[in-house]
Amino acid sequence: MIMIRLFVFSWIFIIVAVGSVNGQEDDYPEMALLPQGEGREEVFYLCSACHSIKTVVQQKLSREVWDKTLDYMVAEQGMPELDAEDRLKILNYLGSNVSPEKK
Amino acid sequence: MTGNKQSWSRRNFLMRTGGASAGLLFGMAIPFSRNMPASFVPLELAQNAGEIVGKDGLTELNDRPLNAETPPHLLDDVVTPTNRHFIRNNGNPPEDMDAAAWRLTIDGLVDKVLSLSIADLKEQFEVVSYDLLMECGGNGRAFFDPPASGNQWTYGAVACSNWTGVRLRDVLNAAGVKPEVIYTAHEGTDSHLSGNPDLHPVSRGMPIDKAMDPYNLIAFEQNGAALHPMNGAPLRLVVPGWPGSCSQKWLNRIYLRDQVHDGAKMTGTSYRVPGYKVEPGQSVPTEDFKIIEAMPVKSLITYPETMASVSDSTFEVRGHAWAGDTSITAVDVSHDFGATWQHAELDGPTNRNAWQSWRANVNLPQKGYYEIWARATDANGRSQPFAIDWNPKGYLNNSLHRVAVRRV
Repeated sequence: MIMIRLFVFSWIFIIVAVGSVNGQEDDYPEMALLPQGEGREEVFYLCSACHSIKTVVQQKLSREVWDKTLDYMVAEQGMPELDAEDRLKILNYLGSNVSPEKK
Repeated sequence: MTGNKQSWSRRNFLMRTGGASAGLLFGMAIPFSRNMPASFVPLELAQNAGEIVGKDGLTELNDRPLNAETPPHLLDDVVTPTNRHFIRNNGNPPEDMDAAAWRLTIDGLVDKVLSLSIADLKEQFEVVSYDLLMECGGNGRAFFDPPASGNQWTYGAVACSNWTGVRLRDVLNAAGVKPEVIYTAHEGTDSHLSGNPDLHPVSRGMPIDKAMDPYNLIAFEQNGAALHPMNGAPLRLVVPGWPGSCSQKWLNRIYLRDQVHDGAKMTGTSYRVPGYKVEPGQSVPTEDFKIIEAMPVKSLITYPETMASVSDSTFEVRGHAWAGDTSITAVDVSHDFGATWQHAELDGPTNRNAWQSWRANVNLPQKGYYEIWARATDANGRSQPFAIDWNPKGYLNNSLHRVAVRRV
């Protein structure tokens, strides 16, 4: 029984390996949770360094609350300080793509 | 930045325990298990990827850190089984949960520093078992409008399991509480998500008067067995009726202080609400936030499941009700959007700080769509509101629970 499962698993492994050449979405399945938009990759790499992207997308916050959340992440949760340009890009992305209007 | 990408999934469980014990999950041996690569996930388990070992039917909000809640209809038991107890993690759970080697330190402003094994706790102090209510401070946050940041809990970050341990009070008395102590501080061995060893994921405390309440336990058993790894094995605090974050998991240190504890998630706006009523969406200065203490009066309808179809005109509606540091005196049920209410039959708590079960026979006069509402009242005369008492961080939503029922 287990031999059959191993055989099937090896095929799944090959399919996944071939699939991953198609792009980073396969390497980082959580990327798919984030809607397309300017700043998407920056948000993915910044936030997923410490926690699941599910943490981000389960919340639908206003731009103002995302702004406070980024401050909180730096002040209390060990997130590195961002330069102004990156911070604005990330805030713009969250405020328009992960917002109450997108619920 | 270093990221610890571990989560307590089936996959991870296998990586930690190895193929041989994986066979235990199948109920049969895996003859060639030693050929399996280190991070290999047998298909039998891969098909259930995302399920949490030892939990059943929980809704996962997040996997890193792991946070999962229980749908209300799976909380029907008077005593919540371990596999239905919610999980709220702030950081990465520890690798080491070895009960035999575990040590708990009691220090800070004490006469004598204690370092206790779990065997010491059992030998030196009276062991007691209670059914104890635990609810996350952010339970119900998902319904806030405007939305509030944090895990979007709906109804099920609440449970009432049977916990066995020793009284926190007895252990603190053995250490000797110095007269200047006003607050406790708790630490566990979970690690911060950022990988920074200097940061604690969560370290909360409580006023010493509350700490001396005899229903706070240092617990080593949940429902008569070892604690679930994600519920804090092998040792945790259980501080019933206060935000769950007071009940430190993977507990290895309690220290006593002459100031309000300022550990992780004690300060700023964490587990705090404004000291006055605010308008939804209002911006509140951080210094106006007050630490949450007892959780408010609340109830849950655990039967029927929402969206159920019923064919009988009369059927039983049931659930549980609780109120932080006090008891429930009444539960009322409505099937007509609150126009009329009927008293439910209400049980007493099995012990102080347990939730109380209730039931009512509801009659739906004709076919159609109904909502069943439940509203609890506590011994201080406070009832659940219909609307949410909005606050910026989405805490303490005790608005009444509604379930939809179709009579067919």
